Amino acid sequence: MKRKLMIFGLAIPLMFLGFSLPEFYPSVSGNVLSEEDMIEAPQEVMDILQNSCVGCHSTDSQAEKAKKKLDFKQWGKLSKAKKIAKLGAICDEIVEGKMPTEKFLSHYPDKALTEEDIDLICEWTDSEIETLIGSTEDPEEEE
Amino acid sequence: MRSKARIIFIILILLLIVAQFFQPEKNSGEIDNNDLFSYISDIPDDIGSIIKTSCYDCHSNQTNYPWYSRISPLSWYLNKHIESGKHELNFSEYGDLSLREKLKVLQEVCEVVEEGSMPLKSYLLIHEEAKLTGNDVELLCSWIESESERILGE
Repeated sequence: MKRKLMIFGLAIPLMFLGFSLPEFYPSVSGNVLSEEDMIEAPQEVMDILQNSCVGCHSTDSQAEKAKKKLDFKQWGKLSKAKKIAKLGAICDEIVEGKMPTEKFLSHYPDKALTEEDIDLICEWTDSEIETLIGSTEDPEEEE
Repeated sequence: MRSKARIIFIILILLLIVAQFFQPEKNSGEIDNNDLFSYISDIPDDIGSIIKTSCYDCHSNQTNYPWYSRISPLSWYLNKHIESGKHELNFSEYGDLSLREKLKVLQEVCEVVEEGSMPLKSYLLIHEEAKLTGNDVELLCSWIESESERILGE
């Protein structure tokens, strides 16, 4: 009886210790420098991204597939070519209604993108792409 | 009882025969300068071989049709694959894509082969030679990365 009590008595504090391990709080243990790689965009675009996208598409998300495809917090680490590719994909996915996913929206219907949201994001991706392409090209050449 | 089953069987056979007269159009269209291999003159042989063997049946204007693939209604099922494949990506029209579209397509090719969602499992059942090894994927992605840089820098 005494031994059982002792073991039980040890187990509880150990549990608390275990649950405080960084693995359970990925956002705290995440890369401190990740701020500088975070995507930058006009405030109204950032608002939409934060509301409807970053939840899954960030380093600390539990959604493995999502963050593999696109991680907004690691945006700065992408090559120019990959940024252009991803920007194009972002617009296509939301225009086609594939993103945010139905599953996500069934839990968070308020995070659905309006037509205006989609237009705003696609305008932004378009101009970002132009900027990125333009920054490598000869000024005389056109795409 | 037995003759009923026999009648049904005969009807099925007849339907199958009639079905052979209804075939989807064969995918053997134009290959012009926009085709990937014309457009990019210096694709390394191993890369070219991977793309032709593992991708071209669904993602180009030139599908290879072994005899069994022409049996209706299987041929309709395959045609569906080809149509959606070409809709998603058609290497025969690669040259026509804008720079940004090329970059997007190249990036996605690497992603789908890395995650193993392409080639389709059902395709690989019949076409074992189309299976991509880890090395194939690495080669492909590496070429895609350098090709992307190249066209961006042009």
